[in-house]
Amino acid sequence: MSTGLENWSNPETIGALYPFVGSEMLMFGLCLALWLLWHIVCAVIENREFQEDLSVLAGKPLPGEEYGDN
Amino acid sequence: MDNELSALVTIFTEFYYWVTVVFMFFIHVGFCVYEVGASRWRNHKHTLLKNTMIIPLVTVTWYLFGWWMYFALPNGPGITGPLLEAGWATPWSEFMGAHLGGSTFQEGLSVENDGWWARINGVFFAAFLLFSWTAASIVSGACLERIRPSAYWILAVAIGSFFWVIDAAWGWHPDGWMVQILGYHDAYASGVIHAIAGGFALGVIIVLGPRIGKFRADGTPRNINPHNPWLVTVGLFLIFSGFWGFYVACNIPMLDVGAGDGGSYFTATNIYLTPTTLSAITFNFLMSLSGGMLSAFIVSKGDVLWIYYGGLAGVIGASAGNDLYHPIQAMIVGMGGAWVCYKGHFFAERVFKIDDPLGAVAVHGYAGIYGLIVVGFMLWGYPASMNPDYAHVSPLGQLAGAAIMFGLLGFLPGFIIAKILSAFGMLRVPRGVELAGLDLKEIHTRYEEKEELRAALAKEPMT
Repeated sequence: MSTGLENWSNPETIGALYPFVGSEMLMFGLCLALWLLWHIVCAVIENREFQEDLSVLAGKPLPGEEYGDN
Repeated sequence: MDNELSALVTIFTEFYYWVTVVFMFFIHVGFCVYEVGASRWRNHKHTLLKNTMIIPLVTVTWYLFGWWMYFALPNGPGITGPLLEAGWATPWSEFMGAHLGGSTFQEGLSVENDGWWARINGVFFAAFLLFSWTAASIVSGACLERIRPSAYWILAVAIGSFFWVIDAAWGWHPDGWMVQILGYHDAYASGVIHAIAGGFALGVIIVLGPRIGKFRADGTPRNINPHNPWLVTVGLFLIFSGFWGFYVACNIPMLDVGAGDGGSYFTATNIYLTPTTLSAITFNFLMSLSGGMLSAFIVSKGDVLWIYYGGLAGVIGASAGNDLYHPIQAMIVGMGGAWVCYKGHFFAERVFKIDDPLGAVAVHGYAGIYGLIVVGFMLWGYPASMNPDYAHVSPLGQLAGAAIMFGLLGFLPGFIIAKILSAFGMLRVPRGVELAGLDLKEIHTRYEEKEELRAALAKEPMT
């Protein structure tokens, strides 16, 4: 996990500061997968919500129609 | 970083871009506020959600591929050369994280060639990222109240992290092929951000269609006024404020451009690394903003919202040449930008039944194209680059540039992606939901709560 950094002397020689140096490609793959997965999950949630909305609309008056105050 | 002067230049540059990023954040705040103010009450939360989620989505994808593309694609590739190496900008690069510029262990990276990026990478990345959010947000306004958020977010990534950066690499990079061959000049992004985003938005809304009720049965348009003109006002003022940061972020703050005769000459430059000054662009920003507002007052007969739009169109219309124009030239060019924007918007609405609720296509697209064409005449013969072998600015080069920005990289991809999403039923919200409002779930919750309250009151009436 260490970058090999043991002290702050000779800062001009210090490169990467973050832990797990060498795992950048793995982190890239993880980030790519999370991004793509997010779009899929988002579309699934949205479809479900619209289905619920449409069933509400089919069974009840439009919100605001009855009370007229929305 | 081994002497005070080089450290000062590096850390000043780092700080300079950081400040521009904070300023440009106002653009996005402004877009959110403005769009919510312009939408109708039943769509507020979805409108806000749609625009807010640009921030994480475009940021992550800009990290994954957008930033690298800017440095890798200036040659096309295949037009003036191959794909370029950009080791500091690949998402797996050491320099895409906290780094002091010392030893590197990744192959292909060297401190000598890439070390400067260890300090500048994050802030320069962020400055470009804020341009990307802007490109995506421009499209958001055009799709108001009828696009599925999930579809919009795919489109936002496409314009914000992919297509606009292609045009930036081609026409907004000191060695972009459009600069080399066409002499393309677009200092403050009339085309690179605005025309492409306007073209993309037009492609999307042609497929998306107008909001239900926008046009009467005989085809005449209804004017759907903003829900809250005060929010719209605040939002547009915030966009104006952020525009300052945008202009400053388009410059390099300090560069030695005097290598020609062996001497040094340090100055601010535009993105093409040709000299300009912050003073020049401040003059021209203000004068083109003023020209746009004055012109919009006349052409819209004093419609205050169109005066704001006109201010933006004025700046956008003059932006391509605002590094070199005289302030009065910037004002007059800005006046033309607002006129083109206003007339173009209502012409497209009347003739082609285009529903562009916030005038996004007009303000950014039409004014952007106009700005690119005008600069071809105004700066005809100017060198487009420090490199004497590259082409000079010309009307033909700018016209070709406008076609590439608005048409090839804007309209066409927007239209095609929207068509694909539409074919899968993923583009537009269901008709019933659009009529009732995208915030139906929240509204319904309130409706249920009211019923519960009514029942409770029936049991224990308040006295």
